[in-house]
Amino acid sequence: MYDRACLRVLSMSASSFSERWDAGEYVGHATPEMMEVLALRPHGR
Amino acid sequence: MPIQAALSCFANGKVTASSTDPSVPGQLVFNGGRPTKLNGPSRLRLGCTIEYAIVDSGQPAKPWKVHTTGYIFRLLKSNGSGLVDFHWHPTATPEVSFPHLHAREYGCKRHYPTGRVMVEDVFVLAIECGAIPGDRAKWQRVLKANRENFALGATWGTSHPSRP
Repeated sequence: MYDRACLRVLSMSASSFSERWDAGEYVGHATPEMMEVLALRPHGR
Repeated sequence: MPIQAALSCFANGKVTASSTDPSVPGQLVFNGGRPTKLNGPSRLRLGCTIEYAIVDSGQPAKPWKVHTTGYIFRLLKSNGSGLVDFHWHPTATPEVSFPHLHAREYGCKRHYPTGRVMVEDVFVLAIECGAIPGDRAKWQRVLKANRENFALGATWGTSHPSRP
């Protein structure tokens, strides 16, 4: 679900988005679309 | 499930919950988190994701309680463009810890503060925008029951008049 949402909404792979998010690349400029996807991220991934 | 009852008044689909384990946070989603068409000529769509944790209620008779930790409700036009988003995601963005809305219809990404929003509130808005419940009497019963149920268990954000 999370993987599909990353591709559908952000046009990037789940692993790529997770890596960037966890690295803090989006701090201060996260978008509503990112929040929509992030809510689907499984615990621990 | 109360949320399934509300959603089924407006659309076909399934609510799924990812966790029944108190040690694992879960997500409750409608139709896999994808926007789903609502009944009515306006053909609005709704996206619904609720993040939750299962916590000790402290009540021996009913030891576990589902505690909402965030939500994303999206109301979209028939063409898939956003009308309004209701968000609360305090863990992901501690700098925006309050419930808020994004006025997507106007292309606005600002965080307008709101009170706590239930998915039922979004359906009330959807009706104003042209969605039609399949059975209005049933919808009124579900709305009343869900608000009362919410008021009994919620620890914050219960502003509805039905709170005892």
